[in-house]
Amino acid sequence: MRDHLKKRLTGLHTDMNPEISERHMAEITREIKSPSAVTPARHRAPSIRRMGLAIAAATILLVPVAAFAADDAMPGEFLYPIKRTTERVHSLFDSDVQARHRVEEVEVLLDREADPEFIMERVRVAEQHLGDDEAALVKRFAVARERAEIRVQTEASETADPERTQDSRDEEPSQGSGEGSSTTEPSAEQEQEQQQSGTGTGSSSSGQSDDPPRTGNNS
Amino acid sequence: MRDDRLTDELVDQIRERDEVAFSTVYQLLASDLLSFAVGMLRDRGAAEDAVQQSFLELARAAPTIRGDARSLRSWMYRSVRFSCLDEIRRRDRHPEQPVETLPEEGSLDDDLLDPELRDALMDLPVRQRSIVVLRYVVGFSVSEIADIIGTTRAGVYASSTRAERQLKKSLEAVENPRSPASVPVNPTSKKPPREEGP
Repeated sequence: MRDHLKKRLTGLHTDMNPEISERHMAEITREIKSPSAVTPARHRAPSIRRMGLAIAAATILLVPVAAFAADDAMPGEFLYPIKRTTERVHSLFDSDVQARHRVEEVEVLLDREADPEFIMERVRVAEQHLGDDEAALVKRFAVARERAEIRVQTEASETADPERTQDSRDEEPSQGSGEGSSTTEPSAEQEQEQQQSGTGTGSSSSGQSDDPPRTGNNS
Repeated sequence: MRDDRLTDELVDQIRERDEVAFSTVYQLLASDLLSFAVGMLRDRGAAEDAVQQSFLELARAAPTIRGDARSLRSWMYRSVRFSCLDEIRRRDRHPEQPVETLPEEGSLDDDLLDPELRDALMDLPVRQRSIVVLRYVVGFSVSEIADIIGTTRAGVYASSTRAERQLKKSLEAVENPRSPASVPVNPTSKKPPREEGP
């Protein structure tokens, strides 16, 4: 089904009508030749400043509540960075806390049938946090990793032969589909590592013109 | 889909407001940008306007554009996304008003392609819709989408998984309306789309 859905989505790709292209290019050419160039940074600056102030105020007010609520946050969720921060404090007293949480996250992602590629990313993150002396945790991790590898293989075989997989599913209509809870995701720190190691564009750090101007009013 | 002919040299020429460079970039990006905007708005006329708007903004901001070809591509998609969000907000504020732009002649067939899927897409929160369209319709990688949306790769994975699950449910509800597991979906729902948190 997942593969079928992707194919249907890919089919929504559409092409620009040549007449519209011509009309657009005429407008663009007129704009290029026009002497006035608007600097988009000026357009956006006030709203960014306001947003920054609002976020700072909200952060100060909500930190205690958020720290409590973040306990069950998963990678990619809004509260996850807060969970990581509180974790670092906890790790002063409980050295296993980070490894335990990473393994638990893999287990939850597996239960939620998250993207296999993402689960494997989280497996690798969990592996980095494991120490040799945490035997029980190592055992849990091994089980989770095995489940993750099976998921990846299943996904790969579905992609390779979706019709066959679909047929086999049709024969087993009672197969569970998971309970529809939310998601998946890697940690912000891993994100940054990956982006810094070359996959990231750095466009967000490249200055005033890296964001296009917002048009219209934002009320 | 993405085109490697969008080079850093071309971006340099864009900064100099070179007309040929603009035409080339338009040829390379316009269809993908249009697919993205149609997926967001389900209205080809408004989507074409969003694409035109982003190129006009590029023409105005060209001398101050920074970064390489990939940055420019992300910039264009962010610009179209902002235009789409503005259009969605406008519709939320004035739901009774028809869209100002009319579909162009010859474009109606595209709008009718897979209407159930397009309806299901419109039921998604705006952020999830952006991510699904960029990932599967346009063909961007998770890292590129994270850059365009302004989130982490984890956030993209999370939203994408939720969206796929919701789409699957919505389509099942349409295809098997009597299924007890299916969630009722009203394709003509006027419910304003929800903008997800960061």
